[in-house]
Amino acid sequence: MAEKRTMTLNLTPTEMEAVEELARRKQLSKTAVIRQALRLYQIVDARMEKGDKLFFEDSAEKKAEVMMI
Amino acid sequence: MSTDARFEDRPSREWLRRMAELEDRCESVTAGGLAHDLGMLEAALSEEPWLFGRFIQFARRARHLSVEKLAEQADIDIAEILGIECGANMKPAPRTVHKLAQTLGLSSGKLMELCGLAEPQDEGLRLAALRFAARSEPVTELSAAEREAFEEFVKVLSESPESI
Amino acid sequence: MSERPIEIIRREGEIHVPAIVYDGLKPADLVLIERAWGPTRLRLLQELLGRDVPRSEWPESLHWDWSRKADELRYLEATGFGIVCEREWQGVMLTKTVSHVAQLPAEKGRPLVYVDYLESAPWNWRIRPLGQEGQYKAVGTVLFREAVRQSVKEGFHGRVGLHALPKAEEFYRRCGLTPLGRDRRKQNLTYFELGPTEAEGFLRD
Repeated sequence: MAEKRTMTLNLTPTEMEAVEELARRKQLSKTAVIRQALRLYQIVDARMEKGDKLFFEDSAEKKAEVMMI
Repeated sequence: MSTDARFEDRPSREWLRRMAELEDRCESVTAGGLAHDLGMLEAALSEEPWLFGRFIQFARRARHLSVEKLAEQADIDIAEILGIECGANMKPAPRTVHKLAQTLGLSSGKLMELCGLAEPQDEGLRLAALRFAARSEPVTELSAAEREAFEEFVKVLSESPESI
Repeated sequence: MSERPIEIIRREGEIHVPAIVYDGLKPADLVLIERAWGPTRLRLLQELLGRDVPRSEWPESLHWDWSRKADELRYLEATGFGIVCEREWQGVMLTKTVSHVAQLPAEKGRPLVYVDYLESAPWNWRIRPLGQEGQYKAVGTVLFREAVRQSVKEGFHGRVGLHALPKAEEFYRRCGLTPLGRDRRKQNLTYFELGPTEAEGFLRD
């Protein structure tokens, strides 16, 4: 893999807990959690730029709209 | 999954041979959820602009028309015809298709179907078009006139100040 | 883009030949690949039609077009892998790390590497009705193994998911993937998933 660059993250305690919780549940390192979050953010952002909308569908297959501004 | 060392090494040749044998028995290992809608032949011919273009080109040449002449007779832009013939134009304008049909003596409705502007009426048309494309010669041999035109253009290119 | 030396097998003579697997293809690479593979696809199509070979016996990915996937490589979640041997692209694979998560009950919700697309060059295909034996084999295997490796490197513990084309189902089953049913959102193809334990078994040779 190509060389990596380093960034220092300043998180609030709650944010840090959230990262740790996700890392635990998904069996990921904290770095991997942040990287996944970034990749997802990029996709969502690109789609919304195009004008697409982001939806969640609940288990009863009813759609609720989630829009990011 | 602790150590990286285990998979940094190359797999053994024995393993590779075994897997290749397995591949052979299964005929294929292609994976792809979108394979079927990325241009599988069942899809509308409009996803295969090269097919429509090839057909138009042959219809034109069957009538001994140059692109220029066709453009003139059908009252269409030369660039548009070229775009269609080389398969670059995904969805030609309905007026263009209609004019082409008229000039080339083809059924307008069928031509619309062929390029995806109209709903396909039957599988037969699509298959016939494919059969035609498969049997028609790809444009590899240049006719004398084509070679002349080509050589003339090459001369212009080599004379232009931008050429190195 | 990084590269690594590997081996694939030339069918003629059954010999192992050196090749390179590239990790991190660019959109332009996919366009070049399709330009290189396109003419062979067309020739095969013409031969299949010319000999009236029934559609069910056609290679399943005949009409793929890698250049249509070029834009997707712009996203961080997507990775393109390719194998070059004798200066030709012999196989290509596109993986994703975000758009799919594990479905296996024991792994539900956890990240995995999803194989979006995997294909060996058309001249490598075994097409019996045309008498084409194919030039190189083990290309698909090597690429799939790269997906498992990527999963380990990403910290996903080897989890891999994919939708297999019908003729490939047997292969993935034998690799240790679990079929999880037909997916009507993906043209009813069967979804397969590799869990961490099976991944370890797979990589261990």
